[in-house]
Amino acid sequence: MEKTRMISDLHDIYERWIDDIELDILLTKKCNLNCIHCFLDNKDGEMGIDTIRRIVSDEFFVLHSQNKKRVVNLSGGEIFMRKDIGEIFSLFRDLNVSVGCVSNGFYISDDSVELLEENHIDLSLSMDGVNEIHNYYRRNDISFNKLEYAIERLLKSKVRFGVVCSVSRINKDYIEEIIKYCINRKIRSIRFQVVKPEGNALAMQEDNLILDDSEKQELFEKLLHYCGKYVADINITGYGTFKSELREHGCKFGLKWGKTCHSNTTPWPKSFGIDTAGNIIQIHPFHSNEFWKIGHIDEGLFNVISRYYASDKHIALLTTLKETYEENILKSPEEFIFEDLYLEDKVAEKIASSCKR
Amino acid sequence: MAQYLLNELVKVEDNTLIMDGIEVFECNKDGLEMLKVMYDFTQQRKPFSLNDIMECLEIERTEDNVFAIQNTINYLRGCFIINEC
Ligand SMILES: C[S@@+](CC[C@H](N)C(=O)[O-])C[C@H]1O[C@@H](n2cnc3c(N)ncnc32)[C@H](O)[C@@H]1O
Ligand code: SF4
Repeated sequence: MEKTRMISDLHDIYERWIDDIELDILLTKKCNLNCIHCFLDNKDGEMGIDTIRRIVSDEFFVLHSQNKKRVVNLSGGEIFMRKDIGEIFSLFRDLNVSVGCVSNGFYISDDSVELLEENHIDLSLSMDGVNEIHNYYRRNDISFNKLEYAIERLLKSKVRFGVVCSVSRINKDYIEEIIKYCINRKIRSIRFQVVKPEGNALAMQEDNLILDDSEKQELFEKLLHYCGKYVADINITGYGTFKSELREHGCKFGLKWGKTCHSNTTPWPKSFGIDTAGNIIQIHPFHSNEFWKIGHIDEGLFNVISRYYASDKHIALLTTLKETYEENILKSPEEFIFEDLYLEDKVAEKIASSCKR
Repeated sequence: MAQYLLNELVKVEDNTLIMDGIEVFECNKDGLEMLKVMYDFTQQRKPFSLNDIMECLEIERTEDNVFAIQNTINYLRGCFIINEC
């Protein structure tokens, strides 16, 4: 009965859900660097230009992305290593969606800035610390200089850009320093994410450099504080903790949506990824666990996403998230970091078994 | 231009913003003034915009000031303290 009601509620809100969906496209795994924290387990593979053409001509964009609200993120690897990046940008320009990309800043030049400007593409530059710490992450002596050059060049342009910082025990005590550096350079947005122990970062885990739960909690509390303290200077975003999640009434994590949510938000997932081979994956394209794959671009992006919506797998995701959330709340409400639940193999297993039930 | 209303569940007690019984954050003087303006608009059932806030608070329209107010609005919206209408 519960399930029937959920399916009917999901159908009521389908249009809004599909309108809000974001896409994360992995254009290449190739990269000029080999950072200590990089989650990519190999650096081979590039998305073919035909696959990219297939994506932009899909019904998803042609019929269902008529507003600038839709967000598409182009990621890698280092996307500026692609010789055809200009052509790729222009394919996305005409879609009437808001396009962003992530880069390590090495290839920011007059030419690449012009491409970003012409095609109205937003940019996130990775910055993991000021000077040595950034270089340590990036395993070379010149990365921070390259980044400073990129920032200077971008500030003279019309490109909207911000910074993304991956946090581990190496830089966790320098968060305010990084924020202040950005404010001084007139950078208007910074996003913090926690280093996940995957790919190269598995070695960081062995060296005890990954944040534990209480450090994550501390970081999130700090971010909440800086978010308010520097609200007039910079937009700071980070991942949610139980407290901030509560503050948002469970909406952000898809626990409440539609009629049950005071702001009428939409259910999870809020985004899908496409990997270099054209697999369509829940949330983002870096996860190699087969479970999260929901189809392939050859079947049509819109078809795959719509087929997934309100399917057994989707219902199982929503119910499992809710159950796990409730279990954890009872255990240790203050320390519970919701984000950790998601995309973990154990959650995949739990959802898979609840699908079978 | 986007317009907003204050969430009905928001209250301010002793400088602390409370939503639905949960203490969200403490406000400084500027924050309190801004919330007061938002509250007044909402009481009259009049959605407010960035411009309305800047006018009521008599803030000069420099690039930095516009960013500061817009970012605060986005922040409050992110916490569902205000909702876009
Ligand atoms: C994979 S990189 C691709 C873009 C580009 N090469 C760069 O480094 O900015 C995308 C973002 O993920 C971050 N990142 C890499 N490995 C990570 C990990 N294990 N956990 C969390 N973030 C990670 C990077 O610092 C970067 O900001
Ligand atoms: S984090 Fe980015 S720059 Fe570093 S190795 Fe990975 S893809 Fe390359």
